[in-house]
Amino acid sequence: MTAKSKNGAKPLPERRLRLNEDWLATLVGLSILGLALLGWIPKGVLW
Amino acid sequence: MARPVIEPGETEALVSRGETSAAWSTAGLALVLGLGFATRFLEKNVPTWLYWSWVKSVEFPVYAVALGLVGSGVIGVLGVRNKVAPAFRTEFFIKTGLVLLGASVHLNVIARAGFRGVMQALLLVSAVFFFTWWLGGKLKVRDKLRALLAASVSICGVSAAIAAAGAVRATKEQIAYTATLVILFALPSIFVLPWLAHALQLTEPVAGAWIGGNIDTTAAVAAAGAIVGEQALQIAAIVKASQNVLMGLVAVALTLYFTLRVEDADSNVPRSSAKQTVSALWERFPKFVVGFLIASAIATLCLSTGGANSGIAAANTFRSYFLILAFVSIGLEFQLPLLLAEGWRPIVVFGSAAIFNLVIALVIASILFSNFQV
Repeated sequence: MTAKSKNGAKPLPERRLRLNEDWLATLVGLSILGLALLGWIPKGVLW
Repeated sequence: MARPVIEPGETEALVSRGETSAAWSTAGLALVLGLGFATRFLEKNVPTWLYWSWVKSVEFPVYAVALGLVGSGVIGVLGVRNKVAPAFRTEFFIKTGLVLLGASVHLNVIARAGFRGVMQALLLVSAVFFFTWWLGGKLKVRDKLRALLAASVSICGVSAAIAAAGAVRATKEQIAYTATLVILFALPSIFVLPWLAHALQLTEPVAGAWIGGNIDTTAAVAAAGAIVGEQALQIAAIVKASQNVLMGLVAVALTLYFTLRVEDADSNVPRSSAKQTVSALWERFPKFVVGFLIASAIATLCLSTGGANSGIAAANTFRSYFLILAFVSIGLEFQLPLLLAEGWRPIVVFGSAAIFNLVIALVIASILFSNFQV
C-alpha cells in the first residue's frame, strides 16, 4: 500500500490521503450523529 | 511514467488508484453498496426464515465477508479487480462506523460499571495485550501485525485493529488478515461461551463479565450474553463498553511506542527536537479517535439531559451500515496468497491469545463479580 520515495519517506500525496480519510470519517460520522440527534434523518432511510 | 516501488506484500490497488477511470470507481462503489444491501437483507430475514436453527444467530460481519469473498472471486475471474478496487475504502467505512460507535459508548458507563468493570477491563486488556505481544515476538511475527493481533484480541476485534493500524501504519493485507481471524474466532464463541458458562455453573454476573471480556465484537457479546440471561447481558455489555473506551488509550500508547521505539530504532536520522517528536506523534495518531471521543461526549451529554434516545438509535443504524460496507470491502480485498504469505505463526499467536484470554478473564471475573448483583 505504501509507495516509497528514495529515502524511504512516504510521499506527501499519500500522507494527505490518510490524513484526509481520518478527518473525513470524523466529519461524516459526527454529521450523521448531529442529524440523528436533531431528528432530521428520514425514517425510510433506517432499515 | 515510472511506477513507485511497492513493498513485498503490499497491494497494487492503492498504487493503481490514480490510473483508473471514474466509471470503474462508480462500478466498484455500486458493487460495494449492492453487496451491503444484500448483507442487510440477509441479516434482517435469515433469523425469520431459519428461526429454528443456530444460523439465526449469525451476524452481519459473516454475511458481509462471505458476500465480499464471492464478489472478490467474480472480479478476479473478470480481471477487473484493479479497476474497481479504489472503491473498496475499508478504512474509511470502518473509521466512520467507529466514530458513530462513540455514540453508544457512554462515558457514564464507567460510573455505572464502577470499580469492578473498570478493573476488569484494565487488567484484562493489559494482560492479554502484553501476552499476545510477547508471544508474537517469540514467534517472530512482524511488529505491525503483532500490534494488530494484540489490539484486536485484547480490546474489541476489528475496531481496535483498525485503530491500531492507523497508529502503526499497517498494510491493508495485515488488517484483512486480522479481521479474518477475529471473525473466525468470534462466530463459535457466541455459542461455546454460554455453554461453558452453564457447564462451569457460573453465576449470571460472572458469566456476563467473562463473556464481555472474551468475545471481540460488541454485537457478538450481546448475542452470547442474551443466551445466558438478562443479568449476564447487562454485565457483558458494561464490561465490553469499558474495554471499548480503552481503544483510544491503546491507540495513543501504540502511536507513542511505534514513533519513539520501533521506528526510531529503524531510522538512522535522530529526531533533533521535542517539537519534531510531537509533530511525528500527531501525524501518525489515528485522528478519527478524536471523532469517536467527541461522539461519545455528545451522546453522554444528550442522554444525561434526558432524551435523544431515538437519535442515538438512528446513529447506531448508520454505524451498522458503515460497518457492513467495511466488512464487504474486507471480503472484496481478500486475496488468499497474500494471507498465506504470513504463514502459520500469526494464527498460533491469535489462537493462544484467545485461550489465554478465556482463562485470565474467568479468573478476574470470578474474583470481581462473584458477589455482584445488577
